[in-house]
This record gives sequence, C-alpha cells and structure tokens, in this order.
Amino acid sequence: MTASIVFFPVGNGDMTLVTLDNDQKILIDLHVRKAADNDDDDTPDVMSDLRERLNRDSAGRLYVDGFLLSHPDKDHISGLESHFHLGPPEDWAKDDDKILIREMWSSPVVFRRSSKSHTLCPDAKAWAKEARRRVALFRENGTIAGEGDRIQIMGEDEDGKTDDILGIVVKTNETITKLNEIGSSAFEGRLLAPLPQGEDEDTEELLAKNRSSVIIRFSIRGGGILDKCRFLSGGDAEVAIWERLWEDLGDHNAHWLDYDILQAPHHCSWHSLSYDSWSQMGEDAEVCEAARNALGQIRKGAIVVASSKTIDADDSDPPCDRAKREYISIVDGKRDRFICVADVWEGEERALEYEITANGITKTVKSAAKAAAASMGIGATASQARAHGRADGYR
Amino acid sequence: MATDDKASAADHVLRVALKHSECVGGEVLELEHGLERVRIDMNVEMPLDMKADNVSSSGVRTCESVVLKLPASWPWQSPRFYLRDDFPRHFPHLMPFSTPPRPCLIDGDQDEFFLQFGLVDYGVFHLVDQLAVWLRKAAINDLIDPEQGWEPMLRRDYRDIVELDAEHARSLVDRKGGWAVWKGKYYRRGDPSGLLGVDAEAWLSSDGERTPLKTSEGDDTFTASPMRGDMRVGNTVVAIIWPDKNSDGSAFVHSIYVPEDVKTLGHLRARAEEIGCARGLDAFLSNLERSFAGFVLPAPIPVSVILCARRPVHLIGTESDIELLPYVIDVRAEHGRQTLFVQGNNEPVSPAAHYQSISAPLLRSLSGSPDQPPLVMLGCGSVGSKLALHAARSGQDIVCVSDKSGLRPHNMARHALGPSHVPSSKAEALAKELEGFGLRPEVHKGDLGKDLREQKLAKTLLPKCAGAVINSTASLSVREALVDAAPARYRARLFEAALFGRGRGAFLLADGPRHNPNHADLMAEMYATIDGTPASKLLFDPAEGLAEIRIGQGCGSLTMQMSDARLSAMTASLALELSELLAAPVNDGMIVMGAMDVGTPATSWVRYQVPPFETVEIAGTDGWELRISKRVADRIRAEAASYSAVETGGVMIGCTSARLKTVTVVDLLDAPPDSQRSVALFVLGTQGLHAAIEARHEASGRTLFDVGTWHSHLHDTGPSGTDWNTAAELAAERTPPSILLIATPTSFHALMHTKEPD
Repeated sequence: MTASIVFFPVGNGDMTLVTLDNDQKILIDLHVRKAADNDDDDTPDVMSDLRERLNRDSAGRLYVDGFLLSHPDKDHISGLESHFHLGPPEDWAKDDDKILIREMWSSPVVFRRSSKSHTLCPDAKAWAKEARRRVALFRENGTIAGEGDRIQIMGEDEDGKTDDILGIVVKTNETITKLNEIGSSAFEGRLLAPLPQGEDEDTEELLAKNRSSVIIRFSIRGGGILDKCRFLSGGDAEVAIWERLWEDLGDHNAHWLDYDILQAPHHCSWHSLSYDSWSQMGEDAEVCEAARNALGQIRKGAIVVASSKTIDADDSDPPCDRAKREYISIVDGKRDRFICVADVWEGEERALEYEITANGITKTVKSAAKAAAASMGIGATASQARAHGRADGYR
Repeated sequence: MATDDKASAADHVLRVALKHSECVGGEVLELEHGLERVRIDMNVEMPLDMKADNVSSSGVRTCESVVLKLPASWPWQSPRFYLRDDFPRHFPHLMPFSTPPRPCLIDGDQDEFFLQFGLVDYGVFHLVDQLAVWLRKAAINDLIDPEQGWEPMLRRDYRDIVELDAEHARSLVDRKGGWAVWKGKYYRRGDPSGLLGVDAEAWLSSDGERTPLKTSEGDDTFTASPMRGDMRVGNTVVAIIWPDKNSDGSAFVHSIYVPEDVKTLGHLRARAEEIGCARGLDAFLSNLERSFAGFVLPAPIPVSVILCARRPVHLIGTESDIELLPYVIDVRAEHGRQTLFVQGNNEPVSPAAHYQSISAPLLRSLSGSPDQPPLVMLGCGSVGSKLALHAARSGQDIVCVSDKSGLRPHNMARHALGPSHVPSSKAEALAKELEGFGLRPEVHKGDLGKDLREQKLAKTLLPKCAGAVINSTASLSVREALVDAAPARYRARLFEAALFGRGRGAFLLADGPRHNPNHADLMAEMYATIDGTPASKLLFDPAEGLAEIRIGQGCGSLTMQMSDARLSAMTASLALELSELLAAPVNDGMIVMGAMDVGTPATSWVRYQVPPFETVEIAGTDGWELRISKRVADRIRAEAASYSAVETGGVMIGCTSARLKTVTVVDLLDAPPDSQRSVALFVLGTQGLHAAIEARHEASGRTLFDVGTWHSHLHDTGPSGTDWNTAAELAAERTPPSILLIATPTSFHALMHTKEPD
C-alpha cells in the first residue's frame, strides 16, 4: 500500500486523510457542507471521494482506523452524525452504511461543558458524547476496548479529569506510536499541543481561547522507509500558541516542528502569524517572529497547503493573502510550493493528494482514463442548451 | 488530402495535447522534411525535494519539452515523440541510438495503441498521457518495476540475429564465472567486406552442443561456403560468457540499466568489464586467436559472443535474472595477418537480437502450460496426431509413437500432418514432425493388440519414464491389451480418447490409481450411466454410434463424413481435458464426455468421477475376476442390510471379457416379485425378469446384459452346496459365463461353474 495524504476540497475547513503504508487510515477533521451531499450542487462531493478511499471490514463496515478531531469547531466536524457511526459498534446498521471510527483521537476538551465562551454545534456535541462513552468504557473496564470503542486523548485535562485514565492519554510533547492499537512504525506523531497549563496568568488567558486545538507533527513511513514525510497539522491554532511553541522548543527541539508539508493553520489565517489585525492595519500589520519560526522549519522542497477557499487579496481573513505571502517567503519564495486546495479543485476537479514512497513525496496526477472523456469534451453537448437550426451564420 | 487540412493537423494535435493536465504549453514548429511537428511542454511531478531543484535525481526536469513529429501517413500512424538531445540515456524504455532520444511509451506497438482509439483526439490524448507517466517514472528512475521484472535492453530492431535456447545458455551460468563455446551455423548476407548491422547481416544459430576451440587440418569448426547470390553459409561458434564472482565470493550482480551502445571491440570489452565478464571475454578472444593460428580463411566468418548479465531481479516474462546480451563479430583470417582483429579495439562489433530456438520451456511459456511428464501416443491417426501436436506445442515430451498403418491420401481430410508425409508410416511421419520440436520419440509400427502383450516390446510401449499413455486407436483389442499389459505398479496414467457420432461426440477415459478402474471398467460404467444424456443418443444411434467409433487407426474413417474442423474442435477439447487431468490428477478414474449441439458448434462437456472397482476372485475358475462398480457394490450391501432376517438377491448386469477373464458388474435388476426370501434360502423368481433384462440390454446400446445373480447370506459363510448346484444349472443353460455373487455381512464371494470344476 502506498502511503498518502489527501486534502479534500471543503472550502474554509479541514478534512485530511492520511493513509499509512500498512494501509491504516486516519482522518483529520471533517467538513462536509450540506451542499456537498447534494448531487445537483457543484460543491465537491467529498464524502463519496472519502468513502471510495476507505476499506470495509469483515462485517462489511467502511471504517477509518483513526479520526483525529483537532478541535470541536463547525468547520472541522460538520457531517459527523450524518456520515459516521456513533455509539456501540454492534449497533452499526447496514441500511445506514455509516463509517465506523475504530479509534477516536480527541482533545480533552470533551470533558468541558458547553458554556457561553464554549458553544458547541450538534456534530461537536455528538463527538463529545461518543468520546465520553468510550472513555467511560475504559474507566469501567480498565482495559483498552475493542475496535469501535477505542479512544486516545490528546493531552491532559487541565482540571485533572484525565488523571484516572492515563492509559489512554498521550501527554503533550510525547509521541503517538499506535493507531488503533497497532504500533507498526508506519508513523510516529509528536503531540505538540494542547499546551499544558503554565504559571504565567496573562499568557494563560491568551491561550485559553484556542488552547484546545491539537497540533501533531507526523513522521510518516513511505515504501517501508521511515520518516519519508513530516507533516505538521495544527487545526486552528493561533499566533500565541505558535509563539509559545517556539519559545519552548526553539532552542533544543526545533526539529520537532520541521516539515515537508504544513497545513497552514486556521485556513491560512493571518492570526496564526501575527497579533496585529489585518483588517485594521493592513500592510502595517507585523509578523510575530517566534510564530513564524515555529511555522517555518522547512525541509528541502517543503510545501504549505492551505485548506481554504480561493485566496483573494481583497477578501476577509481567513484566508488571508498577506498570510499566503508570508508562507511563500517561508518556502524559499517559491509560489508553486504554496498550494490552495480550492485551486486544485478549480483546475483538476479533484482532491489534492501526495503519495509518500521510498522516492519521496510526490503529488499525484489525475488518471487519463477518467480525464480523457471530460478533456475531450465528450458529453459537452449536454453541458448547456445549444441553439440549432439558426441560419444567421454563427457556428 | 488538401494542404489546408494537412496544415491543421499539427494545430489539432497541439490543441488536444494541451487538454492534458500535465501539458502546460507548446507550439507548432516548422515543417521538417515536409513533416509537421509540434513541441509540447510537459509538467513532470516528482518528489518535493527534487522539485525544489527543478530536476530529478535521475536528470529529468520538472518541465520537459518534447517534440512530436507527425508521420507522412498521419493519421494512420501515430506521432513520433522526441526528447531533448541531452536527455539522460540511462533508462530502459528508451530507444537505443535514436538521436534525439525517443521514449518507448507503449509496451507493444505504439501505432496499434494509437489506432485502437477511433477518435484521433483520444489516441493523441492517451499517448500524451503515456508520455506524462513515462516522464514521471523516469524522474524517479522507476521505469523498472521490480514486481514486473527487469526490462531487458531493447534489441528487437537489430539486423543480426543469434538463435539459441536461452534457458540452455542460462543453465551454464554459475556463481564462479566462466565461458563456454558452442557449435553454430551461420548465414551471412551482403557485401563480404561490409559492416555487420550496416551493409551486411548475419543469422547465427546453435543447438547448444559444446565444442573445443581448435582449428586444425580437416577440422570444420569454422567453414565458409562459396557465395550464393549475396549469401554465404558455414560453421562458426557461439561463446557464452558469464560473470566472475565478487572478491567476497558473492555473485556479481549488475543493477544499473544501460542502453545498448556497443559498436567496437573496445566497447564490448568495456561492457564485459561492467557486467563482470571481462576475464571470460579475454580468454575466449585469445583462444579464438590461437585456434586460427596458421589458418587462412579470407571470407568473413561471423562469430557470436553472448555476455550473460546477472540482474538484481528476474527479467520481465521469465523467472531468470540472467539477461543475455548477444553480439556478432566478423572474423577475417587473412594471409599474413598479425592478428584476427587488425583494428584492435576499433574492430567493429554489432549488437544482435536473440531469437529463442524452439525448446520445451519456450513452448511451455508461450502456451502457459506446466511442465508435465512425457507421453506415449498409441495410435497416430487423426485424433492421435492432433493430440500429439497439441502436447508438443505445449512443450510436453513424447517418448513413443505407435501406429501400424501408413498415411494415405484420404487421411489428408483430417490428419494433423500434411500431404508431404504421404505415403510414409503414420508413426514415422509423426515422429519426424515431432523432431522439429526437439522431440525424439521411439517409433513402433507393429500391431498393438499383439505387441502390448509381448514383454520386450511392452517396455518400449509402456516406458517407465512416461507420465501418461494415450490410446487413441479406438480399438477394442488395443484397449484390452493395454489393460492387460499395464501391471498395477506401472505408474503412468492410461488414457483413452475417441470420437463418435461423426465427430459430434467424444470421450476421454482416465484410469484410476493402480489402473483401477481400468478402461474396460470405465466403458462398462459409461454404458450403464450414460442413458438419457445427449451423448447416449450419439453413442447408441445405430447410424452414427459405436459402429463408427474407429476413427483412430482403422479404416472406418474412410467412409465417415466429418470435417477436419469438427474433428479438430472435439480433439482440441479432449487435449484440454487431458492436460487438465495431468495437471491435477484425481484420485479416482474419470470419464469425460462431450456432445456437440445440432446446428451450432456449442458442445457440452461432462465429467464423471468413477471410484475404484471392487474385485472378487471367482471360485471355480482359472483366475477369473469379478469387478464390481463401487456404486453397485454399495447398493448390494445396502439391500442385504435392509433384509436383516432373510436372504435376498437380484440379477447382476454388466459385461464380460474372455481375454481379460473378467466379469464386470455395473448395474442390478431387482428380484422379480415371485422371488422367495427366507432365513437360509433365496429363490430368484422369473416373473417379468426376461423382459427387464431385454430392456436393460437395449437401453445400454446392446452392450450390457445379465452376467449372473447375487444373493445375501445372513452369516459370514461362503458358497453352500445349493449355490454350487445353481451355478452348474446356470452354466448348463447358456454359454456366457454366469456368476453367483454371495454378499455376507463382511465380504463378497463369487463362484462360477466351469466344465471342469476344481
């Protein structure tokens, strides 16, 4: 099996599938817009694409080995209830044919109740409920549950709610080596955030708002060779987090941040790179050097992927054209190393996909068989109403 | 075609190419030699780290310009693709010598690939796509796919040919390294002073016979005939050279793909050095030089050198990792020469194509057949000859062919051999034909019915090495003689193949382990079970049936109307079944039966598996044996068991052979209603029995009849006085043998009254 990373075209949102070379698959976030499920709408039908990429188990259930939710915002979890099986795996119904999540990867935010400052959409609530169900199973039995009941918590809860379940908790700065209980060295994940609670109260306040975004730097095996691809995925983490990460890691562990592929945080938002307001200050807004350093540890040929809508200089943030320019400067000023998922859809009508082989990381190309008919204009006759029989000389 | 249309072809191709997602630019170029040209710029996806350098580790750029030339016969031929002049050369699938370099985009004929698309647009688009894939693979040097195997150097367009058995050559290769010289023959066409591969060409062949390298008076290792037209023939040698081991003792593996570019002896030495064959090549060349010492033969004699390169993975299409690299060098033993190679390292050398000579492995790989044990063909008539050629073409050995008759003109209607073989003996003619496939079968021209029973001849006819003996004579006497001649310990499987019903029906019999069931058993079983099937209609039809079964070697075929196509169709199917049974032998005997529909060639085939027959020695005889079909034996036991308190019985149906001294039972008739069953006696009634026997006889195509009776004993006791008396009565009433079978709870006993009881 060829390892790969697929970025689905979901506008301003994240939905990324990582396939390991042992054929295990981990989905990072989900953003299925209502229109994407509508056949007559042009919004990319990402669920059909995803389902085609998944395998079925012996019981006929489509599954992902892992599902990492970076944080419970709508643009990272939409579509969960409609497309994924929640509840005990034995309740899976053939007629619904939903996707089984063998193992959840969740931040400890699921232990927090929603409040004014912490509102949750229905899909996020469903995620939290399912996560708590799985945690309760572990708490009850004290052993790792079976597939479909498993969960790993990414980071400790600041109120100590994970203290009694450390067997399923990965602490920040530690590595994740197992996916669905299989430790095959097909990958290693370094958990960089959520950041543990610090002592400085000012910083704490600043961090509190989006502390819950999980940041993992994956090291992925390709064609049997370790560490062929480093992939940094940080949800919607903002400038304070990246600044703090650089302060913590910059001196001795900067290599924990280096990457071949960076998913630009928060859909290429300016707020991951700067404390200044883009809308108010425009070009006067300044980049936070520490945050830029945290996001700038490139390996040779590294690329930045913006999972966002098409970036327009006049548009609001995110995505932000100024941020795009900053990322381009990070990748040696090479415009072709900054890729917006929406542009790929625009040009190729497909998700952005990289294969990870022993040779390295290569963008895949649309297969001719599928492309030929469309490119040749076969069926184009039907694409619009055409006048016939007019004698006015137009051809 | 109008000039305007011509002019637009290049535009059209460019427009189509630009539709491809990887084609990012291009332009129509000026005509070259009157042919249209287009340049297209291809984006090449490659790993991110190489992309950063704009060039891959193998030297392919992220954007490659490729020139497409439209041939004069466009659109009947596809565009030719040319890469930039300095495109790296170290790839397979790159045409050797072509300047500028040309990629091999298609595994096969590019024009055929192109023409399969009705729309020219589609064809161009797919070729551009092949180019995109080719470039992407070249970028990561992935054109050799270890799964698929090592891509051998492209040599198919060379004019010089070396024909030999590659497997034989590869079998010489060992880990240590070395060289060997084989006898060869050559044809050399063209100017005697001309350059091989340019204005002369040579075809060398060798059947792999080793020869010492020496030239002395009267020695004919090297000869040259006078010129006939522009051609000369003669004897030469082929040197096989394989790599020396590494200094650490491991096998020398050459894993860098290089295109074939040898043009001189210097190049050849360099190539030999690369692949570990330098010592062998030097040794061969100096021995060649020495062998010509004092010998003058001014005509050029092409000598072949085969370098064996060991690759890291198997070659595409074979299991071997040894790639053969053949070259041809003209040797000119002139008067007063210093050396055979006066130009030294500049002596021209021509790379040659290798043609595989006919060999069993070649035939097996082409036909996808497994390696199967040798065959004996008893009968070389139309069916036998076709089965034999099917087998030979699948690379199967045939060790003996037998037929007593000669090929006559009328045989030409259906025999596998053509008129040039008339009027030789069928067996001899077939053996001669098989020689061309490298087979050397023993020829037997005697009467099989007689000779199989002679121990000396039976050793030839049933050799130990054979895996299968195929009787296609359709002769009853041969069938019985074969059953008689094959002892249980003879390991080859015996088969009988025949057609009937004007070729609309066919059967194949395969006997069981230790020849039980034998062919006679299987025929009886067939008659007993075939009733009601389409084949039975053909088999029992008085006009088309068994009377005409003698298609194999008798004269029956003279009058039978049947096309060669129909005979071939049925025989080909029999051949398929035969190889199926040889590849996956069943533990029982087997009857395969085919019947062709009326009006269409649709044929249905059925297989019946027949377990070994149970055998009982018949008391009161000189070695007669009762052979009971398992099916029938089980019925007898079941019925005896169902009458636990009284004796019961019935009539046995089957056939007998006086020559084999066997009585074969394949069916039962129930005891008539007026039969009497008691504790110590079973009396077979008569009511309706005669009519039932008659009806059974008819239903079996008048082949099966009553061969005796059976009855049960409640205890394990043998024949009683009553039984012997009944046997005597039966014998008095009719001439065919009549058996009494007694089924006791644990065993069978059989007896028969003969005139002089023991």
